[in-house]
Amino acid sequence: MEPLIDQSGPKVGLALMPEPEFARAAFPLFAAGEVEVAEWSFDVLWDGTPAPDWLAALLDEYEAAGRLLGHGVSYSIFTAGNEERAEAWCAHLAEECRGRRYRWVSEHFGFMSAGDFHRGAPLPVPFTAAFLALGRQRLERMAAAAGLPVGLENLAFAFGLDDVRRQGDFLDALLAPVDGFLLLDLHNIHCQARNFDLSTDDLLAAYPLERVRELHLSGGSWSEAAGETVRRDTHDGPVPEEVFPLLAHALHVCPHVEAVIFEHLARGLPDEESHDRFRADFRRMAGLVHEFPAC
Amino acid sequence: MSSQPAELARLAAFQATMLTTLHAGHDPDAMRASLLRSATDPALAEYVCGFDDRMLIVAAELVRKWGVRPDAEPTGHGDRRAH
Repeated sequence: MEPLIDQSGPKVGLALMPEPEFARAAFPLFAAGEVEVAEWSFDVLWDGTPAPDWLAALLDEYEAAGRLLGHGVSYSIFTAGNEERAEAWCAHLAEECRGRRYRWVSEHFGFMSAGDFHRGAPLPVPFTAAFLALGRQRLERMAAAAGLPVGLENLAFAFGLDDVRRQGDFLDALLAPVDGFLLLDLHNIHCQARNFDLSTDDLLAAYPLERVRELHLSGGSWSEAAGETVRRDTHDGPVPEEVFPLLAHALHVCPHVEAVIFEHLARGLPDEESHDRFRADFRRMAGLVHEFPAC
Repeated sequence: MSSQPAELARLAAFQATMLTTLHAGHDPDAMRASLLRSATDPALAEYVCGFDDRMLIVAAELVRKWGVRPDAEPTGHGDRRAH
C-alpha cells in the first residue's frame, strides 16, 4: 500500500457517521473532493444494521483509494476479566479486516464494560503493572486479529490529575510492544487543559509525539458539576477557537502525522446553520494542514 | 508479562463496583467512599482518593447516559463516540 502521506503533507478527512444529517452536512465536501481520507467506526454496525447505500458507497470509494482508516469504539481494552467478550470482538475485527481493506485500526484508551454493563463511555484506569499487562495483551490480540498497524486514542475524561499526568506515559508503554501508533485527539487535550487548569503545550509534551500518526479534531460542550463548568468531549458542537492553534502546534511537534480527521456527531447537525459551521470548521482545519510545510 | 487470574478477578470486581456506584450515585463523597471500600489494594485506594468531585459527578452522568445493561437501554441512544 502506498504511503498515505506524500509531498503534499498529511491528508485531511472526516469520521463517517451513518445518519442522514451527517450526509447532508458533509455531501458538499465529498462532492468537491475535499475529503482526502475517511475514518469509519466499523463496530457501530456490527449489530447487523445495514449501512445506508450512500455510506456503503463512500466506504467502497475510500477503501479502493487506500484511504480508509478503521476506528473501533467498543473493544474496551481495560475491561478486566470477561475474556470471552474480548475474544469475540477480536474475532469480529478479523472478519471485518478480511472483508474491507483498512490502512490501520485504532481504539480508545479506557474501559466501558464491567459487571452487567456491557457498553458505555470509556473511563480511565490507573497506571499499574496489572492494567499495563492487561492493556498490552489486549493490544497484541487486536494487532493479531487485524493484521494491520494498531493504535490508541487518548481519553478526554480523567478522574483527577493522576489520570491527566500519566496518560502519555501509559499510552507509550502500551503501544511500545506492538510498535503501535498514537491517535492524538486535540479536543481531548483541550478538555483536560481546561478542566485541570493546565497548558496544552505542557500536556502535549507529556505524550509520545513521535508515535502520532493521526490527529482528531472535534468540538464539544460544557456541563455543570459541583458548581463548576466541565469541558466535555461530546463531538456535537463547534471546534473551540483555541483548538485551531493547537492543531498548528501539533503539526510542528508530531513529526509523523499522516491523517487529520474531523469528528462531528449527527445529533449536532440538525439544521443548515450547523451544516455551514461543520463545513467551515472542516475547511479551516484543512487550510491549516495544507499550509503546513510538506516533507 | 500477564496478570494472575486472581488479580484480574479483583480488578474486574472493582470495575463492576465502579460502574454500579457511578450509575446509582449523585454525591461525590458517597461515591468516593463506596469506591474506597471496594479498592482491593493500596494503589487502587490511592487512585480513588485522587478523584475530583466534579469528575465523579460527570462520570456518574456518563454511566447513566451511556451505560448499557442487558435488561435496559441507555438514555443516550446510538452515538457511541461521544463522551
